[in-house]
Amino acid sequence: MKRRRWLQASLGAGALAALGAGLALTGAATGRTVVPATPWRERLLLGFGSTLSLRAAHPDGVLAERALDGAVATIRRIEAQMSLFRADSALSRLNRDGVLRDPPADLLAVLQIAQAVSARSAGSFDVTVQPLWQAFATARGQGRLPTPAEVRAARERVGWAALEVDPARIRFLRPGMGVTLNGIAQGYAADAVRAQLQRAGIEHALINTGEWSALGQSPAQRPWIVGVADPRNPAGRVARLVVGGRGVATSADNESAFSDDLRHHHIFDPRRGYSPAELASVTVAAPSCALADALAKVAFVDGVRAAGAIARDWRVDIVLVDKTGATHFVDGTA
Amino acid sequence: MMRGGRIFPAGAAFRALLALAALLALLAQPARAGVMDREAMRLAFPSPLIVGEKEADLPVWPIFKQEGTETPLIAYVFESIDLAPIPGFSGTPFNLLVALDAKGKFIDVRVLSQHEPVFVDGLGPEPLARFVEQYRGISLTQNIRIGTSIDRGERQGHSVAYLDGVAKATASIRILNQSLLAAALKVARARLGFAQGRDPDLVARIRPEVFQPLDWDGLVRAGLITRKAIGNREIEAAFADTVGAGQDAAVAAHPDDEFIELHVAHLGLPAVGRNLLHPAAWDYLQQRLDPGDHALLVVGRGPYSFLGSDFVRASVPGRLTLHQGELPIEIRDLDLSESLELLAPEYKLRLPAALRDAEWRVFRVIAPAGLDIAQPLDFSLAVMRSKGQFYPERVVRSFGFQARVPETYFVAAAPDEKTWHSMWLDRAPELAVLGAALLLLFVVLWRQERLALDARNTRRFRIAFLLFTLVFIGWYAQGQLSIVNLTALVQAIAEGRSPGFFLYDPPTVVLWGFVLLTLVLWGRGTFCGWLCPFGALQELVEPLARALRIRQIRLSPRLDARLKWLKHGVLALILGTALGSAAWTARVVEIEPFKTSITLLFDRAWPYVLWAAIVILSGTVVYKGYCRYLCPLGAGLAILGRFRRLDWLTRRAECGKPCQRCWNDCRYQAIHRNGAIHYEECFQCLDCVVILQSDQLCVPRILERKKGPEAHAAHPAAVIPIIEIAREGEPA
Repeated sequence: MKRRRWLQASLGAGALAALGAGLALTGAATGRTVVPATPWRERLLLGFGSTLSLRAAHPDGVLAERALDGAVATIRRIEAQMSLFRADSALSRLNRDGVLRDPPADLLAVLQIAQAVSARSAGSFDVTVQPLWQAFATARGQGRLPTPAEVRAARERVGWAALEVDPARIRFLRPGMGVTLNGIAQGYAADAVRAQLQRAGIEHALINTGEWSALGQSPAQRPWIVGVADPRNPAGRVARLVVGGRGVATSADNESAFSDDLRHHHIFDPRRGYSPAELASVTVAAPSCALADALAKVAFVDGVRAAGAIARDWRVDIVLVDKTGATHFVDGTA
Repeated sequence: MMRGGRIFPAGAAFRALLALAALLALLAQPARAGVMDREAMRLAFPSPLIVGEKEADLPVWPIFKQEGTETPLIAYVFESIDLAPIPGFSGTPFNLLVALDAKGKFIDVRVLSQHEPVFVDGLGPEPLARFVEQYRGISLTQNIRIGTSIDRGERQGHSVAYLDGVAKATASIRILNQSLLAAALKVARARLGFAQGRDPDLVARIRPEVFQPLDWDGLVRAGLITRKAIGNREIEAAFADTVGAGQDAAVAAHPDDEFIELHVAHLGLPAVGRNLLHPAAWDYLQQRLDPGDHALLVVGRGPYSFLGSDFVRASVPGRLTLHQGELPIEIRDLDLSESLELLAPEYKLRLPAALRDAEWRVFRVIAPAGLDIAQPLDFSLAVMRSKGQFYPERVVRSFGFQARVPETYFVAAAPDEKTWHSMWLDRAPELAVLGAALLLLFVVLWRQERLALDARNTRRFRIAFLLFTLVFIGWYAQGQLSIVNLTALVQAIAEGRSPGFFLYDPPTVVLWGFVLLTLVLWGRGTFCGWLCPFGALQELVEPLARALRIRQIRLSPRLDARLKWLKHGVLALILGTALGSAAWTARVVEIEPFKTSITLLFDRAWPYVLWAAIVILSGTVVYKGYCRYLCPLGAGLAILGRFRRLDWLTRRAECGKPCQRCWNDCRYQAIHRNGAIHYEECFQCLDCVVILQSDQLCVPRILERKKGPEAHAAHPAAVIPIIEIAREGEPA
């Protein structure tokens, strides 16, 4: 919930203001507007534990509605495979049984991306941190933090290399492992929706699946811009990013915290078992949103000093805000 | 087992009817899904509200609101029929459109569809619309009581919400409330994280009015403060055989000393809070709490702190935890002590001298956590010991204790609000009168020949009972059995629903029980002739006709026999629509004027009143014409009456051969010329029983008397010949 408000708010200064202006023009089409604005369609839905929004424009309203119907279905399909809340999702079955035969296509694809990022980041991104999440969540349910012994026990069950991803079968090579896709599923969904809208003939769209992606231009016929919110002041902005054809993903320590001081939260250093102490928020703009989503965790874990190398290596832009509130910009395309 | 009076070939018709019903049951598509689509939702929730996409795993629409550039989620909207299709009185569930906010408060409730007989054309939909409007602003965390405003004076406050009921529709309103709550609770549990699977509506509420001045010791004696002391010996024993053994030197050295003494109280109870807090501090505490929240006071004395040095104000304590029924319940520091001290020094908690320096905190449990103060509160205090300077090994031991809130201080959850039990309790006096009347009727009919010895007594009893049936059973107790009961049953079975909704209407259940019993014994006559309020009305109109000198027409036996089939057609039509469309059923059952004349006492739109009037007045020309020729309920009972066990009408050898007295006198034309009884058409009026026992009325008896004693010898009175009269396919 926090995540949703945070990013929605971050749009205020940029794209959404433009969106509002665009809608106003649509309403007054007979006025000074020279070119009749393309009608924009909007869908809001709950998914991935937050509010998602899809906006698309096409001169043919019926086509736009149909494309959005397809986009909603795409999100539902991905969530049905990757949700940990649903006991019958493919991911839940994998976690329960330790093996999943004939995995559904999206789950397979997202795990392949995840494993590739894990390998190239030496394990800074790792979808098998679920035991750590569980240790912290269980302790939170009892109003406490996990003991070092509990964290140690959970950390021993983490390790991307022990996750075997094969089109015929996904399985754990060690007992007690678990996968969470909360660090990449939203980005993957944004990519899938973007591709699907494009196929449906949509030229202009803004996709918010918790992470952001866009097509074409905003209603004001300007490039899409998203604001990066201040993690300590949701109303404030620390940066603005031109989305372009990229995916933009943010990870922040205030999204799902286990302690009131935000010291412990949902992003874990897979090697240590605790949340990284240096950073408050990381935003990555990458060629694909799934990649941006995963790399945000890599940069979060590896810290400010490693950010330059990550940006160059993956050719992405990174905005980092540390716990003191200082903002660092790393331009990987420069 | 069918051993009597089979006059016309109803067996074949019955089988055909069954086949038809089975066919329709196969074709019937239970129309139980919701009706709203995106367009309808957008019309119902216009801008600045934004209708989100319907959820995938629960039939719920999120509703957002455009607030500047933000779009906060403000409600979940759902149709009750998707989540809780509880059948109403027509057998078809209510469908309500419900908007519930994220805290479990009703934002809006609208009726999408309903087929309640009392609201369809009867009272009209307006009282229902007014009723559901009352839900706005009420929270699921409150107990909802429906009654008259008189009840309200009794208890005020947040814990109970009172709604004004709708007269004449009590049962329908309860079913509506139940549908609404059941559906809303499903959504609340799935989406609002309510009560972790328990029913948050069944949680006890604080009684705000219970207060008496008590000091600390008084509170302890009243059971409002729970004390738990843990001694050093107990602590050390718990760590024996672990690395923690002997690690606390102070504990080991003084085994008889106290380790910690805890006092726990529910500060939100006025009896506790108002006694321990300054009035202004009490008001301040109330302000800090949301409706349904709990404030728990914990006082700890001794060397061990229940908070620990790492405790952060306003956070969840690490050492002390609360469970209820295995479920953890979060307690969070209200930070009350510091706030009170900041406000004014005299606001400080009034602790006894012995506890003056004790550590105390007030913890809050939010309402949606579903803490039930009627259940024990299981507290647990964790004590940790460690060994070693670096990477110390740690052992944790927990010490549990239980606190209970005494019964006088809360209102227990009211499950009766949600069940049919209360309906029966509420109507116990009525049911007692009804039961007594049914018992009387049963005894009289069981020994009918005794009553029928006296023609005048028979007539008086009959008129009196029919008046009782009309006024008490019909108009007062609203116990008119109707074909609607049968269509509701058929619909419930066809759609695989439980017919348990009948339980909400106790007189109907009692009457049906009695009618089924008498069907087996005597056939349809007991109901049609004695217990049907409309039938009674019809019969009571007849003397009026006589006074007006309207001549009743007696139809020819041929026409009469044909018309009697008409009601079976009506029945087939109604049962057919019952399996098809609820809307059509509601229309077709209007053939039956019961609702107009009995249930609603003619307080209805004129076409219905006109029809009822026509039917009733037609009885002055054709005796009980509706009952005999049109009534679908009568047709149904006639068919079921074929399972009758008794041929209870005595016959003589002379009956029909040659005597035609009873044939001629039977106003229901239920006696064949040959003397056989058409039990399917018999209304058990006892006229022929009177005749048969009367030396003045029964022709063979008159003849016997004239013939003298030798005739008596030929036909000894002790042996009245009973003849077998089952004749399949005999012409009527």
